[in-house]
Amino acid sequence: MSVKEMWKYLTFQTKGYRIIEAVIVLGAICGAATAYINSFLYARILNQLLAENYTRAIRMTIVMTALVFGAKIVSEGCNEVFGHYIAPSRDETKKRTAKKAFIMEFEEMEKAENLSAFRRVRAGENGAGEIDDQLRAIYEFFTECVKVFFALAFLAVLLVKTAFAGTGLGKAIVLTTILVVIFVTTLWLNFRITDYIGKRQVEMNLENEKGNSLTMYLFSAISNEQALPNVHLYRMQKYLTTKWNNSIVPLAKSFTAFGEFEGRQNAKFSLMVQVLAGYIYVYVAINALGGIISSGDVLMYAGAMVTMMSGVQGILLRYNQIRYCNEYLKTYEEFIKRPNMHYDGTLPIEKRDDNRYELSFSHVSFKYHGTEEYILKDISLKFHIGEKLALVGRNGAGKTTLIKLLLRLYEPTEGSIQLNGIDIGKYDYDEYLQIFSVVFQDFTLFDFPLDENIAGGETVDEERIQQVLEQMGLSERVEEMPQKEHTLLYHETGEGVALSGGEAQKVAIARALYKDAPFVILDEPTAALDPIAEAEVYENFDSLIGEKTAIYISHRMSSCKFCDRIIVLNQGEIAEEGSHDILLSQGGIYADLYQTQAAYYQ
Amino acid sequence: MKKYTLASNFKFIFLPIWQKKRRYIWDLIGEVLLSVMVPFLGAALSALIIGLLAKQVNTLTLILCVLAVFAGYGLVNAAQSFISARHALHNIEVRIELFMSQFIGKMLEMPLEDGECATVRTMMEKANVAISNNRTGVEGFSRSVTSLCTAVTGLLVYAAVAGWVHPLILLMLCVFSFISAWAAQRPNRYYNRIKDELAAGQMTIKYIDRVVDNVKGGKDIRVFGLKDWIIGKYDGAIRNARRLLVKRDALSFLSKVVIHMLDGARSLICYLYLIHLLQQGMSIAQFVFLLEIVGGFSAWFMRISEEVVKVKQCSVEVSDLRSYLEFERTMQEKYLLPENNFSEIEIVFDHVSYQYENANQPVLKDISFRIKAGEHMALVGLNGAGKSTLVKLIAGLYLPTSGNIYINGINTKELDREEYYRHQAAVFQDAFTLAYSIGENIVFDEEWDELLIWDCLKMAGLFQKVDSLPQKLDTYLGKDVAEDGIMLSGGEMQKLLLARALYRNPTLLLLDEPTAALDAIAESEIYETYSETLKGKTALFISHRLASTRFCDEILLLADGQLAERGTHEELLERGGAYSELFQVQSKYYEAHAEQEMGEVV
Repeated sequence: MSVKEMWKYLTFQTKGYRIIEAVIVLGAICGAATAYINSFLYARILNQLLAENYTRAIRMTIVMTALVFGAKIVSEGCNEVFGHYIAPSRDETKKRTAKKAFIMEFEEMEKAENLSAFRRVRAGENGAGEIDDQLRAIYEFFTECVKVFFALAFLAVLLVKTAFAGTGLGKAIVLTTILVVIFVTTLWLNFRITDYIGKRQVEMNLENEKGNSLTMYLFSAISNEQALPNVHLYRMQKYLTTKWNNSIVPLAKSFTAFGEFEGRQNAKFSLMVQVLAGYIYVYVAINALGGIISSGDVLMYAGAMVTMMSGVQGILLRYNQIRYCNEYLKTYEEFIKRPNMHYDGTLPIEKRDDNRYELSFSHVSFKYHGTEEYILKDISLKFHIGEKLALVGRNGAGKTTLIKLLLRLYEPTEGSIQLNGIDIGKYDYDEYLQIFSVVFQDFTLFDFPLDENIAGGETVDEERIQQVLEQMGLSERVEEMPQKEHTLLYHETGEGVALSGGEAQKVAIARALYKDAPFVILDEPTAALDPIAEAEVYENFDSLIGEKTAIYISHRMSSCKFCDRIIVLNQGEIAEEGSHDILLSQGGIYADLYQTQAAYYQ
Repeated sequence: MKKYTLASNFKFIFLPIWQKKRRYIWDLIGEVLLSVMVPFLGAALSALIIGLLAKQVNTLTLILCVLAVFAGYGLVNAAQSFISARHALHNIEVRIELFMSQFIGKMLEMPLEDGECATVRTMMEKANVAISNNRTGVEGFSRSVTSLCTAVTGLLVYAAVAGWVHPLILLMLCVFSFISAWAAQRPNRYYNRIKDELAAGQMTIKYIDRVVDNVKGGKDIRVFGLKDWIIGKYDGAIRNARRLLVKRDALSFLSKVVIHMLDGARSLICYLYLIHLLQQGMSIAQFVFLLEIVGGFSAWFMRISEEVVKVKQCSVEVSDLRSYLEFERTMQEKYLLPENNFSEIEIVFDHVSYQYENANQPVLKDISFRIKAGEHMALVGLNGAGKSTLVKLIAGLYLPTSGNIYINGINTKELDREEYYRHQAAVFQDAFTLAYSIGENIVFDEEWDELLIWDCLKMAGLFQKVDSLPQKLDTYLGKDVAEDGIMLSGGEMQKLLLARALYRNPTLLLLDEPTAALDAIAESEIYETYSETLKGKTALFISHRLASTRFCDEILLLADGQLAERGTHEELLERGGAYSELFQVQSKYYEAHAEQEMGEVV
């Protein structure tokens, strides 16, 4: 990872905060300068003291204290500002990932490789430490660089002084050569060791990736409210604890093992550094004995060289520490840059008051990517404007898949779906979805206020909310809630109200009504409703749907009677088609399904 | 809430470490000693070199002396590097193995009523902070303790030296340091005040992360265009956190200004006094050594004050963890009932009422009934009538607010509930599965009885499906853990849940709308299965489809939290009450020419 990439990563993670760049430069300079201001003036003071100029020494001491204080304050200020801006970076990144997940093609989201790519993006945040730690490491990296730069300046001065001293040039060259050799050897060793550690770190992170995401999955499964009753009744404590231990204990042990490994490498290096430091002192001290530099300067020059060594070490250490984040950045960028849709059209949807949106399937087949079995085979079907169509079939006949295709949540494998004669892929996807109101079989309500759930946003049309609540027979229940329609649902984001299955389903229908789209799709909308509520929904079917085009999926055959046309799907194909009476008289699949249920009531 | 002292938190963390991870303690002691030796010897080294230079020793002596001393110093450094690297990562293992496991255990064992309660869930979120991060809670505490011990030891050694210079110098150092420590705590006090609000924001963020993980919710998000709404919530939480933290960061900066100011003053005074001593005839080597030691004193003290703040901060988090771990609302004594083997189960409700915490009226009011052993009971009622609550009461997951429930004559308040759970099986409305193998999802264990499991699959009607899978029982469900995991349809899922219930060979079976998602034929198959497999077992069905209640021995009708009717299907129909009305509503759809009569219903 180059310095440029690091800079890019830093600015990417703190996007929109221009101040960060200035803060890093200033903070790095002041942070690095503090030590040098101190050691430079300390050397002057020592010289004055050795010369017994006490008053000048005292004056310098005052100057030194003031300068160090100033530099420290600036660098602390920068640290605070930096800290403040990077604090939310982790959440910001997760937010961007979430956003991506919401706009990516649904079919893609369901795919295993994308789920795992997605997890990797998440796990990267844990595997390589928190993002803000990484950013801090980059900041420190820059600070260390400035430190080394300062040290080099000191070293250059010393070398120039030695070169121009003129006494014993040959000896000076030999000594300097030895210094360079030891220095380079140490650096080389350092490089080898840090590289070695870094590689192991990357290896370990990769090894841990699976364990990490498994642990995360288990943790969320265990902490999930829905799991609780099952955990108790099925006495899953021991089972889940075993699962947990099996996935996390090796993870924990691997950290300790890595610590030992790292410790051994660090120890080798520490020893080498002290040998080098010893020689640096020898080198500088010989210069001092030769009168090239003053005795007071010995600590300064030697200190600068040791700092340079530790600075280089720091750079390499940080470099390795953040190298993994480059891997992470790659995964992340890859994910964010993935196309949202295979193709996204640009055609706007014509706004029509007459709701004349005619959808049709022509020879549509579908199978999941990488599988052989067709879920739907050669379906040709027209949804007439204003028609109420029932979609019937046994579980697994392909009903829900057909709906998903219609909503472009899946793309047809073969054939095409058209809106007013134009392939639906050519329309702008967001606009295309606006013509549908859908109640999914496995609908999801969110743990936010009730009215926002129905309106699908924070701007809520109060009147319409009341109207749809009334229509769904929810008004009374809502009146009883602590904050009426503004009441928070469920408990995951605060103290909310839990809805029963039936109530939740009514809210889901209310949400679809609120949207008031011309094309209504109801996938098992009454499964969780009690008979009275169900009857109400049936009764109000016409007023709920009005003149709109509707598709209705239900296992309760009785509900098909209200539909203009019934399509029976069987193993991915259209098996029967017609009105209730016709199909009943045919004695096929439909009649069979109907009779089975009717038998209960005879 | 109970207050935990720092000392008791220390014991909470270090007692288990002492008992189970003793090497951690030895490493800690080693690191402390070596970490103090390194800077102390370093100061002595500088002084030695300046001293040698001041004495004008010959070059060879100087070289040998310096190199020998540095080699020894290098070894000390190496040892320090090794131990501190090993020790640092050992912290992770300690946190995970000793403390995270306690948290998971508590989560799994917490009674359902508490686990579902929002207040307890907030406690859980807070406790989670203490075990899921390197720098917070438990691990932050243990890391800080190591650092603190080092700093205290260092301080004592340095204080001895400073006190030897002049007791007043030591006093000054102490006073200044105390003020610094006070200043350093200011921002943290503020942070503690805003912590709850920050946790609430994190709750929303974590919830949305889970929404992202839940692929099925993606459908609603797309169709209703909900992404801006949900991402907006994310943004709101981030913005709010930043707004709260800006003051903390400003305070933190101010306190650092104070600290550095004192630091500057302290350093100035020390310089002046040591220069004074120099004038009195102290050697320059001593000056260098003492200056470094006196300067180092402040570093130790700064570190102590920083670490004390961290320890206190982490201690608050550890207290959060402990109050969650020790949370127990009802001091339940464990009753063991060896004389009862639950070979049959009889349930008696005696004037039972139940009210949820935070609710203003009871869900169930004064309910009394008896379910005889082996009886099949149906529970019907409108949405929100309290059916699911009743099931949880029967299961022993909830305890009644007033009145008593007797299982085989034993009050559930005195019952060994764990033992009772063993003999029941429940199928709840929302299917709960883990992303592990089908086999494990049936038995919730890693080992199973092969014959029995296939028998259960056969009875549940899932035999063919599982048998056709290449990995059979080892096939994973969902894609969360294994990439080749499979998705089950709604009907298959219900069958899996049934197989799970059957495998346990329960005496009591609780079924909460088991067939809502099934087609008519699958539904009637399931009912047949039930009536065959449930002979001799006590069973309770909740259903909206009254048809399914017909093969039950008796039917309970719940209305407005009260028991409205009870009797056999025929009896209730004859009575012409609420039940018969419900039945009419449903059966009407199956009568010929039902359409005309629709208007009269309800």
